[in-house]
Amino acid sequence: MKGEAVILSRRSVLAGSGALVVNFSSLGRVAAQRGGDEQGGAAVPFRGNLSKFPFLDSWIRLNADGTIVVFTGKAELGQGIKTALLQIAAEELDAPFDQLTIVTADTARTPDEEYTAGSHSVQDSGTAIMHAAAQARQLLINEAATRTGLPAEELHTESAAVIAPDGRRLLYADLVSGQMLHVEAAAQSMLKDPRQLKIMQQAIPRVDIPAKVTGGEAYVQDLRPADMVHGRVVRPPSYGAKLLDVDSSSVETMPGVIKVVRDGSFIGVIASREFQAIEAMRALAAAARWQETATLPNGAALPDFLKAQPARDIVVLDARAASAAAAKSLSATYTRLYRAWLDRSLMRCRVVRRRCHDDLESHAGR
Amino acid sequence: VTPVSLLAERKVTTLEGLGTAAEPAPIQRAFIEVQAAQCGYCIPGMMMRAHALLQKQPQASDAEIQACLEPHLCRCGTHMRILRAIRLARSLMMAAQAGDRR
Repeated sequence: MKGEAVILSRRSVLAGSGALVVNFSSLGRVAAQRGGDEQGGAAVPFRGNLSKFPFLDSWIRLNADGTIVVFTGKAELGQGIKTALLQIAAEELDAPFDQLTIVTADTARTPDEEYTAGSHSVQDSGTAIMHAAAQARQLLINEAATRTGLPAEELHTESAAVIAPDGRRLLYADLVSGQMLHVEAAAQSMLKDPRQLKIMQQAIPRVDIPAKVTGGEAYVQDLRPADMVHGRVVRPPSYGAKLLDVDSSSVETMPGVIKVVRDGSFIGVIASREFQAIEAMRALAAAARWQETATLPNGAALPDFLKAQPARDIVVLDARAASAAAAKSLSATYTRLYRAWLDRSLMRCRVVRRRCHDDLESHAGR
Repeated sequence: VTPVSLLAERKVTTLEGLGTAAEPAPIQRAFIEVQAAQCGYCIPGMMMRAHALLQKQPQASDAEIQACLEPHLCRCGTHMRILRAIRLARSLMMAAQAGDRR
């Protein structure tokens, strides 16, 4: 990874003098550090996916033209995270909301934050962005302190600028330099006191809605690049079915069909237009012969089967307090029908192949 | 569902034909103002059906709006906001018409 020298020097600065850790409590900021653990050491605060992607510029970039770009590996599905994450970043950066834009779930540019599910986007991505923004702001203050010769604690920030006691304003855009944010997050972030929140307290209109109500680009299937072709997959008739053979010769000559793809038991078709791909997929499905084997557990034994599968427990909240000894104990076992939560709409995936490079860019979504 | 092939030469208006994000039609303005969308998948259908109703019956009652939208489902559960947006669109469209007459 590039910029390692910068990281090391910043680390040594942090380890050496601790001069970058300044006290903003008088300005409504508090160090995000929880009480010590049982051994008496300082506990590491929860910082979401910043722990997995510690570089500040994985989350936030400041441009010399004043624009600020936020990056998240989570996708906007209508839950409003584009707006929420922008609010978090604008709040902790002390920057106007409209000055920020956000890049979501882009394999080439954003952290790989895995699934967008389980109400984890604000928790994991939002917490990372909150800390990254607070630390970026701190670095900008430090830069302003160096330039003005004033102590950092005498400076404050508002509207994407560092303000000196004499009223001088140093814009973030002028303070930022190429590698400033290409540093690993420090141990502490100076976070705003929740009572001081301004932008996060507002009900800001969702940034994704205008496109959704005017036929703009909101989802993968709204993208219509030139030369786009469509693919459809033939699903096997049952779990674990093996493809015996498929005579695809008649499908290959159907209108618009570009290619029939076969790879082991996988068969699919590529066509110029979407409905041509659908018709070819149906013809291909009719021509395929499969060998099916019963591989799924029978329904009656399903509870035991499910319990025997590998599992990972995740504690959401444990607020148990010690209770008095029970007067009477009851024990019971309950089972309910297994429900898989599956998407019934088409999963979309767009893959762009650039001829000059060999890289693939992919977008996927419901 | 009406297949497009049955429409022959008739004119079809889709959501894209109503307005733009910069210059939204009343129904679009209302949906933005009320924030009447979550994932947004059902919204174009909801909006076009409501738009067609309000063009035919500018003073459609709340009950008529509900009955008209009945075949449309929103899995996110945004129905109450959708209805609020349509009522707002109704007043916006009526105000625009009153303005035109003046």
